[in-house]
Amino acid sequence: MTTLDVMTLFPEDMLAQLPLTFRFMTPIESSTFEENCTEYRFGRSLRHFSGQYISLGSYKPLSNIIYEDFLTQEP
Amino acid sequence: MNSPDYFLLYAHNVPVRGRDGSAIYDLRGGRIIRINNRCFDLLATLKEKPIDDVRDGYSFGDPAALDQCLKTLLDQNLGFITETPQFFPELNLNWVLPNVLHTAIVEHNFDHYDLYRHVLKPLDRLLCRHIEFRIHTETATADDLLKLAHFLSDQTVKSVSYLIQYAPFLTPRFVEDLYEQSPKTDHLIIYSAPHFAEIKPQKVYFVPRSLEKPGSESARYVINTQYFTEALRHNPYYNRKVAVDRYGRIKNCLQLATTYGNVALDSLSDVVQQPDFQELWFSAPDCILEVQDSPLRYGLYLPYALEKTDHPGQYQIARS
Amino acid sequence: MILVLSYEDYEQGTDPVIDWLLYHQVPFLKITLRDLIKGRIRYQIDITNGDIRLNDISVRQQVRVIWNRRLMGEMGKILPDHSHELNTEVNHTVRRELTDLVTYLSYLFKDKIWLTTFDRLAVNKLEMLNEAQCSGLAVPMSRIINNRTDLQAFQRASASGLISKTISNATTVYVQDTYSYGMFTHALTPGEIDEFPPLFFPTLFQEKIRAQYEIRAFYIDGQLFPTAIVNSSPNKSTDRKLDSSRDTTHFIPCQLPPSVASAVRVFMERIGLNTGGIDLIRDTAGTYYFLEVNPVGQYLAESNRCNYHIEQHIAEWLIHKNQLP
Repeated sequence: MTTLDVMTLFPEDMLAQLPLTFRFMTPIESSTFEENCTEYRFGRSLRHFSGQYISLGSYKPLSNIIYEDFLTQEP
Repeated sequence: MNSPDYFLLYAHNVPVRGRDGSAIYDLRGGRIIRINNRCFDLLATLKEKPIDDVRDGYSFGDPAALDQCLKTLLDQNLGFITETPQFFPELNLNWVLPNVLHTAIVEHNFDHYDLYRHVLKPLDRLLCRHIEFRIHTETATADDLLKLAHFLSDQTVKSVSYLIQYAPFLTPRFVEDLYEQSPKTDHLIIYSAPHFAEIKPQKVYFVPRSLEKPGSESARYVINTQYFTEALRHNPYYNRKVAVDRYGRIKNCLQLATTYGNVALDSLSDVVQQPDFQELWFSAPDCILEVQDSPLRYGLYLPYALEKTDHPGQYQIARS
Repeated sequence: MILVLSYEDYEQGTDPVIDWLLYHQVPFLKITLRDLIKGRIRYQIDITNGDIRLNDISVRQQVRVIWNRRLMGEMGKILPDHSHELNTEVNHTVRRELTDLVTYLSYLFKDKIWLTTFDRLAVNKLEMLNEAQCSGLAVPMSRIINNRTDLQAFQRASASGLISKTISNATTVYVQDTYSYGMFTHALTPGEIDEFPPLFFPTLFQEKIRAQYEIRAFYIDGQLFPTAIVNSSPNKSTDRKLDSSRDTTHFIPCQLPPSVASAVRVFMERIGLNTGGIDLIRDTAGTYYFLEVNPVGQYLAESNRCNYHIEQHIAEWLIHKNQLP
């Protein structure tokens, strides 16, 4: 997660009408903010009744072909 | 009076003892730190006794020896000092998976069996989590691939990887569209291609290599909690996996000769739930002669044919 | 049958539980707000007989357990969105119609077994501080203040300084260009306080706790799954969420002292929650402070890091309750 120093998005006249928490906002580079889920792709699953079914890769290689090796080696 | 200090490894750092050495598996950081067996024993003692109580027994006349060892462990961010070790249990090492099958390797050429009726629908009922397709394109068309990706788009499978034999209709544009239109696609690799091309970094490629030379022979390690806990009781290469070759033969792995039926004649669901089919699922590293004494055995990737030894429940890597 | 009330879109806590319901072949139905308003399922609510039929399934007769997982969370995404000058008023009316429809459903099925009842989906953070205190949990000194003079006095009374945080659990992330701007817990410096205007919008302040580590404890029906968030870095953020992806932040299983675990259980029973994520902090003297509870908090990250399999526990709870005679 890539962040910058605390700042505010709002001008002083607006801040005067807002809780003080609005003065201390942390900017997070959106592409690095996990809650935005920007790095994921989503399909569907009828059995799950899910219209945004997260596409998750495996925690282990699937077969004897290790993709990263396969892609980097000479034929 | 202050409570005594204890040293604990963070729970995701799990020590494993081997015959001639030990290792700490950093399951969060995906790394292995080699240690000697004396250090392994020390870590076990430190869990039970305060640092000051351990110091005398460990140092053998060198009072700084233990502190030096602890400094190294702390510098490597492997553990912490606490006065309340009783509040920090070890990592739960149970492996569970809510899927009858984790992996299916499906070889197909759109000719020998009905991919949908004989394989994909049963795989969906078995809640198969990941599928790797190896598509031979002698008789395949672009529409076959689009139909396949479309079919999978609302199934339970969580990711699909394709290794597709090059054919002229597989243009970079078509392949990129196929990837974009099928969000469950993890890797899409066109093999035996005229030249190398990276269409999408880490994901979509054209490669000249053929499947006959699949990859390197060097040892590979997989370090994460799921793999580690699975390897304690299962062989992660075979566990909850099925392979179907281009003729529809059901196997534990495409490389193996043994078949357990044919999808056109036998129910895939029934076959994968037979004890004889599942036998290799339980050939855990602790049961494999060549690796059972290694401290790295729960992280080693073992894509090898296995054969039984004379000892019940023990395997060795096949020599062929 | 188990009824799951959740999102149509991605909701990270729902599908991992459904994975287990499917694995155990337990009959269930998932309903989302979109299903209810976009006509994607056929249903009618028979007010006279107190039943709802979903795709010809009688909820009254067939559903025993209801898992209420953020059904209303998609409201903002599915309200009419067009440029009509009365759009705001239309949205207000539609929101009220839907809210009354859903609260009626919760009334209708109050005799079912619920994992989070509708009236407990959102809790008041301030009320929870009082309830935690009454349950025997320590809470940080907390005040809502609207003027600089009182804030300066509160600061002098708090040896370790003050933090500011939001009163509600409303959205606190604003997206502009390539950045998301979050309102996280902030440690106030004396200089910042001195520069505040004499009067300001009421804001929540708490004494800053000198943390040894923070704890996120997932609770379900008396069972606790606590995760200690231990940060080995000398440079910690005030809000630990900002450090969660750092190598020096370790999520490790932990246990609460029996007296604290017992107080947490008393607290959850007092406030009528049978599940939730509870945030605690252990200070350097060994005191455990209650910070807040989220009735439908996310649990997956801690579950994965501690290998707790919380999603399996939730599913098994639902299945068990569904099988009770």
